[in-house]
Amino acid sequence: MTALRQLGEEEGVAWVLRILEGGKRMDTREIEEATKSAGFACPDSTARFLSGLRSRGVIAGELVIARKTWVWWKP
Amino acid sequence: MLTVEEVRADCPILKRFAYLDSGATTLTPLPVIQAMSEYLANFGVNVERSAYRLAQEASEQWDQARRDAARLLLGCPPEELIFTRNCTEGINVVANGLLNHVPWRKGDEIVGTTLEHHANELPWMRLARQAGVKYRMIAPAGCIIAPSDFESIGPETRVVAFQHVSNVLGSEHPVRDIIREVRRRAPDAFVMLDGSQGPGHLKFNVADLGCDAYSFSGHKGPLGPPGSGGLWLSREHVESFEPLILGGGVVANVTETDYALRAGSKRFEAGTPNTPGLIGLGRAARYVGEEIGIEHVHKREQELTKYLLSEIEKVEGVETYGDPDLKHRVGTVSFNLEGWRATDLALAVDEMQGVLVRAGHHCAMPLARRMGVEDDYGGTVRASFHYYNTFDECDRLVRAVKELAG
Repeated sequence: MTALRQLGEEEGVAWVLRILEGGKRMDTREIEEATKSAGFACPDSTARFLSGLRSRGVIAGELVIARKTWVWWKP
Repeated sequence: MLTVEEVRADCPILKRFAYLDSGATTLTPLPVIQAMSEYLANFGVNVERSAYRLAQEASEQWDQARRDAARLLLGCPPEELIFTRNCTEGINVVANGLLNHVPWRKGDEIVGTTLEHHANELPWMRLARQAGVKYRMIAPAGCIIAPSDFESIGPETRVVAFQHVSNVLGSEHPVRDIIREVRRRAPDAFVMLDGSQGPGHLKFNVADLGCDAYSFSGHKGPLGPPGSGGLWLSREHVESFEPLILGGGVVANVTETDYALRAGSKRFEAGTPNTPGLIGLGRAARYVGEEIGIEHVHKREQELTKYLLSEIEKVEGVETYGDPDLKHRVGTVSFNLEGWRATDLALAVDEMQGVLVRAGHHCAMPLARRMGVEDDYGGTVRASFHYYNTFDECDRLVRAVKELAG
């Protein structure tokens, strides 16, 4: 069983906004790694959770084919 | 027979997207939506409660939906079909019933396979805990479960629960042969089939499969609405199983201290049912079973699978999963692209081409780990079909994946 603590919905939003502070742009894998390193897991699969936040306008995201991922930031 | 174009016209979402996620939920055609809407507008009173004429008519529509779903999706009499919310609920009904039904002994076991999705794992893990026995998964040698995979079971095996069709790999397993082997090695075992990807994709008669129970969702192959489903339970178990939920509609008598349940499958359907949804399931059964024809659905899905596999495998860096022999494959193509997390890729093909595919572990974490796709990809990307899909939609997916491959 995983030792990661799954964040609740509100905690997850706060966490993502915190790690994207200061105009930081991070890709999905980087956010996933940062979350894991802190001992957490997103409330959903990371990309699906981030995509949901993007749909709600909480964060912005764009496809970066050269990096084979999506990059996310606070608008 | 309805043409692909006619069915597409009945599914307006297809005008906006290339919908390749029918393994999760199929689209609900307009005639099904219309049947639900008309039921609610003209008959929407409670069923099996009041005696007035409108209630009788509503009950008759509900019973007709059961007759249609039983006949067209499972080839069984309506008395053997329990209406549920989905496949998951049906499996939970069975696991709950078995807790008190089986004379559990020390050393007994419940057996599943590593190909199952969570709906056919968690209820058995819990039952094993409750009964004080072991749950274990056998690991099939390939993508198709073979009778020989069950050589380790024996008289101590009290339940065997496995799938008809894999939601990740699209494998259609030889269930009759497997069950024959299970019966030979474990004559007293109860055999549960998870049919979440069976009805509406495959034409069969449930009693011929040899299982004791078969659970399915209305919102997958049958083209019914979400929140509708069914459980087939062999007649000997209908009367002997304790229902999961008790309440109004399931009783023959209630005293101040006890109750007696009514006879038949409706004893499992306590409370006011999702009547419009189940009316929709009945209409969907006629739509897919009579107006399209399930054999045509199956043929179309095999053609689409063959085409997509042949095209996507040409893209450098793509790895596909599943049995290469398409004879035993049902409308599902799982793949990954080197360097891409599966969910990132799924979001990308939506953004680029409006192609909707599912990505991740598909509610089958043990399988994703066993396939070795969890760490590098976070699962797989899955394109899954129904009759309404086109070769052009496959091309749109392949074009996007090609572009992403660089």
